[in-house]
Amino acid sequence: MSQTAIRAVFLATVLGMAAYCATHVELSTNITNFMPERSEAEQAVLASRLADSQLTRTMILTIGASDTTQAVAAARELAERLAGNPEVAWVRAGLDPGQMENVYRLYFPRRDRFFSDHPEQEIPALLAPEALRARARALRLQLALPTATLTKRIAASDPLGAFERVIRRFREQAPSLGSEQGQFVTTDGRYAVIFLATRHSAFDSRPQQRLLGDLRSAFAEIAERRGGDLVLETSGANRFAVAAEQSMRRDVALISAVSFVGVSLLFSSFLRSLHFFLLAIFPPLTGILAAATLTRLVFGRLDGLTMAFGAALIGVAIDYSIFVINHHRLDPEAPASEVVRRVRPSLVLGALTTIASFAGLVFTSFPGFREIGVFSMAGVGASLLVTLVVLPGFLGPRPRADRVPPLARRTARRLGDGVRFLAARRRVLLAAALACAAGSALVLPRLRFVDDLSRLLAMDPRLRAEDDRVRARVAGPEQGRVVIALGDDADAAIALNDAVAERLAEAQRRGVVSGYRSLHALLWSRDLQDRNLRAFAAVPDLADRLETVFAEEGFRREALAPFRDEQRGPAPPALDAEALRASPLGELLSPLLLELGDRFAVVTYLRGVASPAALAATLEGLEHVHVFDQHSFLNEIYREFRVTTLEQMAVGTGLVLLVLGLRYRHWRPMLAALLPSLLVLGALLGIFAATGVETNLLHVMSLNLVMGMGVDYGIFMVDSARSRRGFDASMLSMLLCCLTTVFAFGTLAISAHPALRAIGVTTGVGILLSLLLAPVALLLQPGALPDRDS
Amino acid sequence: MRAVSALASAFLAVAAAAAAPTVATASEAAGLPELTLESLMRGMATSSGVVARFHEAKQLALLSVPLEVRGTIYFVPPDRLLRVTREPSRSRLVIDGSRFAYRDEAGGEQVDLSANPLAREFVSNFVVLFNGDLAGLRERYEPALSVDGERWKLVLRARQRPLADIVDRVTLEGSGRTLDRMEMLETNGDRTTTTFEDVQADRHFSGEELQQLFSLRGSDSGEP
Repeated sequence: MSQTAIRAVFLATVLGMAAYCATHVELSTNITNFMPERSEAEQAVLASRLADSQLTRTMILTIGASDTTQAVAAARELAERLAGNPEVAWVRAGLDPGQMENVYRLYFPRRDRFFSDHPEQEIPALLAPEALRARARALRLQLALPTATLTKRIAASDPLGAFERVIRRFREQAPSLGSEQGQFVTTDGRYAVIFLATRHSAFDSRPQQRLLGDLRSAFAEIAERRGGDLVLETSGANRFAVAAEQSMRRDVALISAVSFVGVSLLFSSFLRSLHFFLLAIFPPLTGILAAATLTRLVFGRLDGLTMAFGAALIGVAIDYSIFVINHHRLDPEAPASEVVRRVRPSLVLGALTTIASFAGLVFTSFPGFREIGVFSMAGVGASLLVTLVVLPGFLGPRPRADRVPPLARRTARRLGDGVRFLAARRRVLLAAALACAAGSALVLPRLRFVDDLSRLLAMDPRLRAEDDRVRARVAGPEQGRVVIALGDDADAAIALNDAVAERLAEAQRRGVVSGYRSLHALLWSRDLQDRNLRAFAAVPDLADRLETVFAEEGFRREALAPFRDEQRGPAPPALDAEALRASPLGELLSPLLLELGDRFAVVTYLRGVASPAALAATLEGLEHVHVFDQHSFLNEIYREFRVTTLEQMAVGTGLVLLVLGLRYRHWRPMLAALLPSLLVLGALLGIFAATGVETNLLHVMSLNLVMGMGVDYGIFMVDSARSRRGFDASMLSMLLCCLTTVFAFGTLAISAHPALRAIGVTTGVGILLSLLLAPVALLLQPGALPDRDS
Repeated sequence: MRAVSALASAFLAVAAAAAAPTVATASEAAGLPELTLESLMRGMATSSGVVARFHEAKQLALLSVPLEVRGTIYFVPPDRLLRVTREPSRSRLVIDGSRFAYRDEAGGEQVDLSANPLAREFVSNFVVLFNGDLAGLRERYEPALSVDGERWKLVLRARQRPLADIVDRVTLEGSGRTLDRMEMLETNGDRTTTTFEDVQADRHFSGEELQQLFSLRGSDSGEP
């Protein structure tokens, strides 16, 4: 096929894939793809929903001043300003005067349905003559109180106090705040308090940045106009997200600049043209496009995490094009097609080993990992194909001898000489390999794995302290620690939550938790509601019995007629999730009842968990009920990722050996190609152990990348040693590949963020070690090395 | 029945009880030979404070016999009131401006009247009785003052809803400078009659007393 035809086919294919991706690929991160089992998948959805729930979207603002009145006035003004902000979903600065009315409308007719958690025991007991007498006396005392006007107007219909119970449950759920001139204030009266919810996710940094900016400027203007000593302090996940994003943006700008300057210098110095840099990156970019297309076709989706990880393959795939371009520049005698033919076996083998190392992912139980495996294999394969078939067409006519960059020629020669020097002194190589292996083995027991990735988040301690202060003032729920009750339908989950609420009430009495916010205050299962009605209905002479006893305690029989009438009338329908959601109180339901695919979860938010073990014991025996600690759950998932990655590295290494064996059909070159990367793996872990670096998932995933490139270097070394020409060019190619990777990924090591630093250090140090230890492959490679390139 | 109306009417009852000794204070402070509504209100505005024991008889449709309540009331113009009951149970109610705190043997709670516009409106209806705001009083009520020798009687009928839905009329009766009886008749027929004894008009409270009395988180006794 002519080069023109190849280009045409290539262009058409790229355009076709680009069009397909543009119309079919929507990047979305669904954490359930990275969960191995159904139950964990549900918890993952829960973790995800909690991470972007009303809880994380809610901000708490406190305004302090030496004079409470001043703070209250400023808070009221700020709340009014914020209510008009397009990013603010709602603002609550004081009690909602209409809520009591809504509670009355919804619950008063159904009050008997919400009477008791144990209707079969409690209702008959309360309807016994002595209990009724006690209730009558208590009601009489209530009528003497200043609140009597309220009491007497509902007492005729509700002499047993069923609605009082409903109201009490609502009050128990309310935040422990005071009120001053209609404005929420802390219980000590020192701070005015505002709650607000954002429309977008707390982690959607752009709208959050705008909101925080608006908030700051609005408060600054109010404070300046009002004077005094007003102090605004805030709490909210969005503050951390914005701070992290801003800090990371600064980091990325610096790192990108360093990376760009480094790669530019590299290509300018050695290849004398940035044009070659563009040629070098188009095969891996095409590879990513092809991988995205194939993955979407196979899985019907493309996860954002798959894309992010797969894109890192650019570091591996760019090696192939650099290898070809460098050989092409340093060998003026050979046309590009001949150069490609010469390096093709090494590149194909390198790509196959990389594909083999990712093949292990396809066999894991994580759907997301399988996706990454397919993406990586497709990306590497496509990159290689473009490098070998399309790239030569862009390299132009054969270069003249005087256009060979002198620095490249000199460096290649020196590198070649250096490796030949080492090859002649195999004891040095052996000593280096043994020292490396022994040193690693010595310190490896000290290696520590840490799966708490939150420790890698560089949180501003000032923000954290402010957040803690604000949350302490309003005694808000603990982030991420909840009890979940799972059911196949909403009512089943609510029924289970009835039991949870009962256990938690006991736990609160025993001091295991200081408080909780439960759906049980709003909604009971249909069964429990019906059981309450049945328990009342089981006493046919209820109205007579009540009137007799109440009359003996000074009540008029006829005044209690509304109660008798209601007992005779039809029972009101049960209140279910749908009816509650459709009512004016519906918004109270949304954070408490979640749909998780085909199941439902009732979430109870806990406060002040004194003993997680005691809490777990409290809930023991309740099936499908879990104490869910988002932090611990994610750590456990990270641990599984890390273990799976290590396991797949082992599987991948076996497959790499198989590929090498098939290619070389002899154990010596097979092991020779693999040995440097194994030494690098041990050395890197040894360095982490010796320097006390807490190794985590990011280190391990970066190791996988380093291993892939390390094996390529081993192959290049072995193949170059066996070929008759181009040895020096191969050495320079390896140096260029190594430095490109160092500039592309290793520069992350200068980041202020521990997570980026972990990737940068592992990749940077790992790839440098891969280059330095590549000559160790010659230990198992018999025979003399080729002479200098002509 | 609307729940908010019921809630607000609770405040109404509270505030109505609060109004009575103020009138006593006003009449004493006024000390005028010919009592008029204007002189009565002027006297209220200049009072320094009142302490009085009260006896409340509630005739409720629910009960066959009146319910009797005894306690003490403290008032400091223009808008601070403490009502302490000892019989039939102990309770303590504080109104301090727009804040309202209430405690009984079952516990207590602090309510911000300004959070509820209706409740605020109800309390305002009664605060206006004793803060000397004659224009405000006339805006909200139809007052009718009758004087018969030493005896006088002020009948107030609410002009506006929702107060008018609940209260038919409030009648204040006194003799000379002393208010000795207040009656609130509700639209449902319930009647609360409060009589006052040992009225200390123009009582001056020390700062310490005021702090102790009107603390929203004060003691159960409420005594100075």
